[in-house]
Amino acid sequence: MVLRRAVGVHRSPDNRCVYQYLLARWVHVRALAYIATFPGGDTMTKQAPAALPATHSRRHLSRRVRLWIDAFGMLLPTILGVLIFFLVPLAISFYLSFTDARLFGEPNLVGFNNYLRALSDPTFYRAMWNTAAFSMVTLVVSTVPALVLAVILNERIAGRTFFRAVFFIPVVASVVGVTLLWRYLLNIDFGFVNYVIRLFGFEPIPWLTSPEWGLISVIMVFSWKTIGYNMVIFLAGLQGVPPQLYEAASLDGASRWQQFLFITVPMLSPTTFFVLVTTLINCLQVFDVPVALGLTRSNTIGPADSMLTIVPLLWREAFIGGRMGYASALAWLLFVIILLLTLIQFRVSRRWVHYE
Amino acid sequence: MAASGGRARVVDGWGLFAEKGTATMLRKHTLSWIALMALLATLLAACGGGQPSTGGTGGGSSGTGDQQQTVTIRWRTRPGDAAEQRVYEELNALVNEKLKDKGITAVYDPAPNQGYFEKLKTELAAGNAPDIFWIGGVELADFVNTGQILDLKPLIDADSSFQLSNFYPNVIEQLTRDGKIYGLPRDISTMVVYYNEDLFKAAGLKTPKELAAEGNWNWNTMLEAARKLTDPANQQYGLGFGNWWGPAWGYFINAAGGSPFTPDRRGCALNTPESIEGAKMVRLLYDEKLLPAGDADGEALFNAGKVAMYFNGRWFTPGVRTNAKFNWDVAVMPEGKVKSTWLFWGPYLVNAKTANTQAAWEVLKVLTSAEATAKVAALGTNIPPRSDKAAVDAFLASTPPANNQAFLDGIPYAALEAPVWDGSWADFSGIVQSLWDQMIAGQLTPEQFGQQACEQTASTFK
Repeated sequence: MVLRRAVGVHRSPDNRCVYQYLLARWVHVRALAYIATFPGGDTMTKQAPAALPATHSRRHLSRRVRLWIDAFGMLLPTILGVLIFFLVPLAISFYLSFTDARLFGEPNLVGFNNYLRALSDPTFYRAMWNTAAFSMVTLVVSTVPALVLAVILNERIAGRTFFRAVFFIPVVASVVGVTLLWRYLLNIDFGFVNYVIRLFGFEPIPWLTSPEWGLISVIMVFSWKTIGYNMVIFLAGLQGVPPQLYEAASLDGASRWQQFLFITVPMLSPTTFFVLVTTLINCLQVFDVPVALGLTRSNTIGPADSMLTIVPLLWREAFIGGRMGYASALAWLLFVIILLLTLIQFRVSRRWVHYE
Repeated sequence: MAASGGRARVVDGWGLFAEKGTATMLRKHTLSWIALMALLATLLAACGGGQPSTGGTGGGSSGTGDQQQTVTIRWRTRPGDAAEQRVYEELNALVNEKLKDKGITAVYDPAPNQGYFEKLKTELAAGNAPDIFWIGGVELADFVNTGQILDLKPLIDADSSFQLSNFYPNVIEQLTRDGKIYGLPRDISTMVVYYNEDLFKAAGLKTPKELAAEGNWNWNTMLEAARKLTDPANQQYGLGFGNWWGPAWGYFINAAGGSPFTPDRRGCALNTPESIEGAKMVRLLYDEKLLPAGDADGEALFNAGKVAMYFNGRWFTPGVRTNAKFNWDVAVMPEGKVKSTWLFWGPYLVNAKTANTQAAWEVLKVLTSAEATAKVAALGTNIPPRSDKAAVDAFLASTPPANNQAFLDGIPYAALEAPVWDGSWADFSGIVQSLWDQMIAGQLTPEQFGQQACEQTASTFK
């Protein structure tokens, strides 16, 4: 089949070199001779010259197909990984969310029961409320200081590399190890934070033992952990602001504050958008910090479940309550919520994000 | 990046590599090589090691039992602190010594305190749980319902050398259901009041032990002592206990004459007047700030000498022996409307999927034998689940504390931890604990606590 198409195409864009042209002809001749040795091969080779004229596009097609096969082959490891560890569990989880699956035993289809149960469960609403409050506050607390730090550390001041590293270290530190440390730091009786507070003459704050302060502690630790990362993103965005703009503005008599407000912030808007979207998604999915800070012997997350956000709730339902089906439904509800919020963010972004 | 050897000036936003000259190339490459080596080192460190410590036993890594036909039985329990961990490692050595003639090797496979039950449940679901494992008494129903717990009755009946009557009958009763026996108790532990004798003497007060001997140890005298010994300026508290069901809503509600459950354990009884009285007592303690808030941190404070009285079980003793630098002893729990204490216990269960049932039974027998429980009792960590004289004597002789009898005195009137066969203990305790936390923080009144608890836990019963 290849030989039929090979007729008359020794000269092709690939065979610009004389050597290649001659090689192609030689191969063709040898191949024809080989086929002629088969019974009936004579007729084939004799018919060959009368075969379809080789068209440029037909040869192109085979190359494209070959290219596709090569590309797919190289992508196969990644595709397999995504399939096995992401898409297949995703599909199974979607199926399980419509069953009453437990850790042990066979699952039975129950339709939308799990979703309806979630919508009528007070613990679910408590977790939603906690997640919403946590996200709104953390969004501000972990982006505004990051921006400020990035602007400051963008100047050529002494020790800026050192400080950039120092602020980034919480990001790379192991989240559970660091949160356990914070659990001791925030201890009401012998924690260092309360020790300092007492030094200033105030009453020690029940960070981890009072329902009112529980969520605030989670916000603190989580923001401390993410500010470094957002700062780095902002720093990268700041590199893309042309310094001529600042020069021109200062020539026109703009103060540093005005320059920040009218040059830096608008030029950074794509970066800010990225930071806001990713931080919101991470906030909605927070798990390590509430559980490491607040898991008690009775399986409440924080005093009176004050640190209970959606993902710890679905973890607790799945592994402590054993209700895999319900937990899967919760996970998919969370997915829908995140999707909606992200879509809203994208729509709203058209108004305030300026792309160059 | 230009690979030329000439003047290579590479500047990036970090100002890190702003160099001049050929020295750049070597510097850049050296940095990359160091980074690469560091990465490889971490990867190799992750590959090797990673085995849980098994102490000084001959068990070593998770055995495959392929040397001279030995059967390996993996067992697990949950130590509360490092001192308790050492006790179980020594117990493992004892088991191996006793059973080496029978060709059985026991491997102690510990799990962390936090997330112990979740790890067990996931391992059971995955099929690689240990052959023998301990659980808390309340979890029994959940585990039996997984269908993976071996019924021990056939093994008990077939073994003439084993006497079930040696164990405390009220505990065995909890382990029996529908004629099947699902495990053997590892130990029992009644709760007592650990107290700091030095603090009492310094304040000129009678110690709880003396008050109990006089018959005057009740909630009133306890309150009095706690109030006198609380000193906010010195961060000293008169009282302390963990914020979990045993000492908190278990003991106090029972001692007030109520109970978290109805007698048949099929419903919630937290809204009875007696239960609410118990809740009110605890609310009073928190309102007057007589105790440190929080879960386990109070234990560290007691060991540091900052808490005068601490309600806890026997497992606290090894830690106090190691860490407390003051004179201490124990006394029975104060009498509320009725005498009460919380009896915490846990059984060893045998995995139904164990490879060799007979070998697992042999290991279990040794783990719960009079000798083993006496040895563990001598080390101070728990009270034998058997009434054999040898075991009890060994326990009484394990001092400090001098007043070990206080633990045994509570057994007759104790409220036992018990599984909830007709409901879900995990759900019940989670809901109640959350409401309890709100009550002690002042967000709910005790009456509201009782009412809402019973409303919200109605769905956790079948």
